[in-house]
Amino acid sequence: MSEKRKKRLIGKGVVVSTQLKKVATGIHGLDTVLNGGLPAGRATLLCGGPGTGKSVLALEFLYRGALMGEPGIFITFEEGADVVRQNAATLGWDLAALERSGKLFIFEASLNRESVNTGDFDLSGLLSIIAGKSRRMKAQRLVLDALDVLLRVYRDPYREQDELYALHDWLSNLGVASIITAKMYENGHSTGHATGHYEFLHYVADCVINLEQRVQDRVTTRLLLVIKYRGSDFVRNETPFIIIDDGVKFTPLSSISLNFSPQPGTVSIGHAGMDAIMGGPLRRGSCIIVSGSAGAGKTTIACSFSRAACAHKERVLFVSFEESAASLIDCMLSPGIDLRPAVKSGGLKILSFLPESAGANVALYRILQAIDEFKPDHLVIDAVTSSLRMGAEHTAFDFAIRLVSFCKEMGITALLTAQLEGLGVADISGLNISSLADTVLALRYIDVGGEMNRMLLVIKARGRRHSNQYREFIITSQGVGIADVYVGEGGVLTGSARQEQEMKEHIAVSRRRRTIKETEAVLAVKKAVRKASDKALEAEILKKEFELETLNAEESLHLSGRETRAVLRGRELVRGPRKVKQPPAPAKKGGLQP
Amino acid sequence: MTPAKKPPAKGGGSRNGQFKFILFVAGREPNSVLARQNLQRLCQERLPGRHTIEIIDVFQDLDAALKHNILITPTLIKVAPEPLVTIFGNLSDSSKLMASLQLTE
Repeated sequence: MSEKRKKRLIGKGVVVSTQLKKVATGIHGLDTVLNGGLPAGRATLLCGGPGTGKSVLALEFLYRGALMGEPGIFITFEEGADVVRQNAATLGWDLAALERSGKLFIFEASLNRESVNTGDFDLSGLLSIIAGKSRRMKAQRLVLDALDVLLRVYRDPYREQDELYALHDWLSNLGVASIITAKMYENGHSTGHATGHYEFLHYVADCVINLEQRVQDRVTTRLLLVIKYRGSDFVRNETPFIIIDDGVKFTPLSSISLNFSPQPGTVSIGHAGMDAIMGGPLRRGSCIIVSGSAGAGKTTIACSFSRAACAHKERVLFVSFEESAASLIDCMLSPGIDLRPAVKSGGLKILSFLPESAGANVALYRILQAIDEFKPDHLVIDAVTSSLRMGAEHTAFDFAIRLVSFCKEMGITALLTAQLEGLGVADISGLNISSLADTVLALRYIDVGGEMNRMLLVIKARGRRHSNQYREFIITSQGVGIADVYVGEGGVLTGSARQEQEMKEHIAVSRRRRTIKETEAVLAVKKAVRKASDKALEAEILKKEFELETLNAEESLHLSGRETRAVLRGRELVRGPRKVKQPPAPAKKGGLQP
Repeated sequence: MTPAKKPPAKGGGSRNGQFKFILFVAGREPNSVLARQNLQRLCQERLPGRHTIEIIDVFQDLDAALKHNILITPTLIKVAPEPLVTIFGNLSDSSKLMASLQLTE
């Protein structure tokens, strides 16, 4: 998918500040934290307690540089050169090859502990070696690892400070980007010996970085903090890092949390009805949280979504903290969600690991790596709340926030399931991350009439007009589905209670329909009857009209007959025509008859 | 740079008692100058005709400094007789110096 976005993101890491020339460390994510890299030609102080990763980080600075063609010198005051090479080999770094090609020089600068001190001395020998070797190799990078060990030779804290100060000065003049590592805690107390007053170096050095290792809830987190960086911007918060695969890996949140814009288009959650109650299909690149208690159907929704997306030739990365890929595929066959074709076609990648097996940062790194390699359109995390098993609550929160922010930046749809008992609307995600989510679906159980049924509620669908009603969430052998629930005096009805209610409703409906039909039929008959009687009456009327017409006709015929007869009798000569209309005929007739 | 090699004195013990020193210095740096003086005085007083001193300037001979792992100057290495002894500093603390060279009255 969006290669352009990715490039832009990665590109951020190598932006070089205009004020200060920098050297990119080449360490995964560190240049983003340092806003470009370490100051060129300057010394950087890298401090931290034992085992915080100072040496590895410093060595990787040289290793990456050497691979980029920048020769470097590693001076170790504590470990033997062979130990350094062996440690590097566990990360897959072949230092010997770089040494042979003149890109790396490891100098084991150990003092003979049995040596006797017979008066004042200085570190000219060391400086000579550094200067001479740098010149010969054209070194661009330099590391003085565990300088505190060397400075112990003075057995005088003030002298140590002076020498360190002078050394720092000298290194700055040498013009090689260098890292001085020293054992020191955040508060400035050195470990092991009494002369840990190196905090003054914080004022002297241009760039001071502190490493720390914290164990919380039995999970170790390594953290890097840039204490100061003269003339440069940098990430001011602690940045977690891990040492994994081939080196030190940072995933700075600050670099990924900004400027994301929603990807155009939508994607179905895998069920049209569920899309509908959410006010439409999911927006691409948005974040969806499906929350609910164990067995409520979160994974089923997630798988249903994955299968549907893969069916549309989209790519889904499914991170399962709960079960193995094989077991997940197997379990989903029961609700009729066959993920096998999606896996086979390469559209679905299931990444499965136990959260306990890795810290949150390792998990985050693994997922980001998988995203980088697989380039999914959608990401499923089942369940995001499992991150609580990867360390402290804050670690889990951090994990989720960073993951979601990254997905938003990359335009990847993130569907997170969250295992949560009850319905805490204030914290529906279980991790206080619900504000990050664009859509929140809550699944819960309801106990009615001796049954446990599942209910689904759309709690939030940002920018959408979504349903505010509970639906019954049904898992059948044909996948997921939803049904309306009945809300009445007795509360909501689900399961067989709902079916019963549905039956009742069905009966009531058909009864009403029958009544209507009956009434309609009666009315139709009545209308027909009325029509029929109307016709009879009309016929009668017609008949009478005919009769009347006949009578009138006869009458006029009769009258005209009389007239004709009168004319024949010469009436007109006697009375005039007006008298013609008077009916004197009966009288005359009568008169005539008798 | 200035290898002030002193050939073994005639008649001295070119036996097992021969001392061989390497002194690493940093140019004309005060402690280096002082160490050179202190060493020469000691040899003249205590080891006449029984010593050789090789002086190496770390700024001039990088490879020698690397080879002997010289971080600190001045550094004195007693190569012979066995055992090898490394001594830091300007050699002003003569009693310590004598003790570590096992030179007793």
